[in-house]
Amino acid sequence: MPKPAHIIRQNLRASLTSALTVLRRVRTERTSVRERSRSVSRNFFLHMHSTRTHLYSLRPGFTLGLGFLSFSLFLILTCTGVLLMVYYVPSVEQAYGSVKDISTVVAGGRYIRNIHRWGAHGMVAVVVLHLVRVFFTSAYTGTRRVNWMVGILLLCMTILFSFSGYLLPWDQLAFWAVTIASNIVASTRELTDLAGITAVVDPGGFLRRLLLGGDGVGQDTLTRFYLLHVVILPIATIVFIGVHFWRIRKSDGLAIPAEADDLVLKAQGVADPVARQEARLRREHTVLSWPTALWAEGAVLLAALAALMLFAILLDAPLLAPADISMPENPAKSPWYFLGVQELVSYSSFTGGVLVPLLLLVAVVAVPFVDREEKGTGYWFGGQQGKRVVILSALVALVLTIGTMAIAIGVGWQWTRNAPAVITLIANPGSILATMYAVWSWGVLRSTSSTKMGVFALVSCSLIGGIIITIVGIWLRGPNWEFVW
Amino acid sequence: MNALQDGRHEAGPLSRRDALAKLAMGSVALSLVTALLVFLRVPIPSNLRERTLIRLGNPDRFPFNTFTFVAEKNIFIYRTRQGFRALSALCPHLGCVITSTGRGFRCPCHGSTFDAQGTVLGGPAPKPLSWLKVGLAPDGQITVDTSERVSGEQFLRV
Repeated sequence: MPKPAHIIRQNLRASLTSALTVLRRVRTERTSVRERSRSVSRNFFLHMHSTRTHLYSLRPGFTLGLGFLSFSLFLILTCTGVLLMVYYVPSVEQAYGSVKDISTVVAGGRYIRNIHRWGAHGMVAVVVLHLVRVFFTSAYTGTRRVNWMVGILLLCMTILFSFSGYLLPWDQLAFWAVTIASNIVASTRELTDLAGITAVVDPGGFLRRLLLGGDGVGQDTLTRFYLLHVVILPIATIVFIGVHFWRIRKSDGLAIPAEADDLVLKAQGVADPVARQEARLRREHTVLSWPTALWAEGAVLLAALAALMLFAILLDAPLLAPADISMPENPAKSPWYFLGVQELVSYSSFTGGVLVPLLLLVAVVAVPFVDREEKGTGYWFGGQQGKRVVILSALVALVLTIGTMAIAIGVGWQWTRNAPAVITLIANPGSILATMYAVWSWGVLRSTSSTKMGVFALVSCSLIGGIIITIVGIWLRGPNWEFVW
Repeated sequence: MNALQDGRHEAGPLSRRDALAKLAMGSVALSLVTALLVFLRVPIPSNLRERTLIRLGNPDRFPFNTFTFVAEKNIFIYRTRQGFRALSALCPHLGCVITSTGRGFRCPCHGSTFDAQGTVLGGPAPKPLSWLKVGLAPDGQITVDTSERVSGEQFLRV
């Protein structure tokens, strides 16, 4: 009968030996196909990958790495965000001072805040670009419809993330951006006022009060946005990123052309069809995810980190004067990704701030249900015809948008001033442009008899229009929202 | 036949067992929904901290034939021989604070312009500026009720 102490000593020694064996295997033995497959499938963090990855989906020019770049930015933002939370105080009296302390007193604080702020800007841009990539490679059809919608949800959460983060420093930018945005939410009253039912039905006013925690921007607002920013949105985003990745696995990886195997093998120089068939059986059109796909992802993560670090060194995140509830900044501008909307609300708050963005959202969500064509999946713009449609639509949108904005700015948009309120709501640059884009896309749909070309035209127009209007908001609007050149 | 056991419903009248099962599931759903409603009710603010009645001190603070901007409260106070009037400084477009241009007002955010009476002259503002009810508190202070709109012709004589 061995002594208990002896048994424990033996067990500990055995555990140490097996741990060392595992480590040694990681170092030396991950050379066999079996070991490499196992290291992906048996690891919780890696098992979102299949054990093999199609070479086509690893082509940098195909995905541009945008999906993983979004995720990388999310990881970086989570880490820097937690660091900022160490010092940040979510109180109206102390928020500004604590952010100022982070920027001026805390060792490394300014650097971390810079990375966080520029990363947030970057993430909005990258997630939008990711959506554009997925759209123009037709990666939304078939079993991917659900994931398309999950992706749009993640985009909305990214924007909310960035916007709720904007409020936290409680500076002039924060205060007035939130004041304006919350009033845009409440602008459904323009519509309910027309019907005379605002006292009974007031969805915008209700939502505004729910967001602000009252009728004005104050401590309750800060508490709510803080809660959104550090608890609700992170949890929701992590969950839906999980769903997003899982759906990709369920659709057998990224959306690639039906003949992707052949394309990859041809590119590798296997010209003979029979040899290609044999190579295919040997699965030579794929590579082991460990290490090839992981290297690619690691490279994207490092590139994101390097770019942000460089930005953070060169450029300081802005911190304006403390919030002054009696004097807005002039001009009071939202974050850049909202400036397109801000330009549109300077004609009508409901149409520009609620109706047109909502219509765009509905149109984008509806894309995989309107277009069920499988042809062209996995090719940029779905092929030659798509390229022509996209370029032509972009040019049409360029002319229409610049023309409309030139009239609105040059001649002025005062002609609806004495007209009934309905006219002001209906006839403004936002709604007129949306209608013209829709008409153009309908024409494309009719002449090509292809739903894919129809949605390509609509999204190209909206994209170009959105960019132009955002540029107007960013650079061509000065004090009192007057046009500057 | 037990519908729960064999997993399918047979045609014909609802059996007592099925009816009871449905009733039970219904009551579970009802209690869950009720609980959820309470959960959702919590974030809806019911006790609004903001005071709508603002006290502005002694009437003598405001000389005759002037208008004064009360910072923090975002109100313009007019005093003429006829009495007091109060104009909200919040732009009816998206809630920025307007500034006086001498002859009227201008919003720095989206460029709405108003005349001295608050009428919209240009820009996206959907309605005129609000005139607010001016009152006199029992202790002699001037008060403004930001929740009560009045016509621009209404004066408070002191």
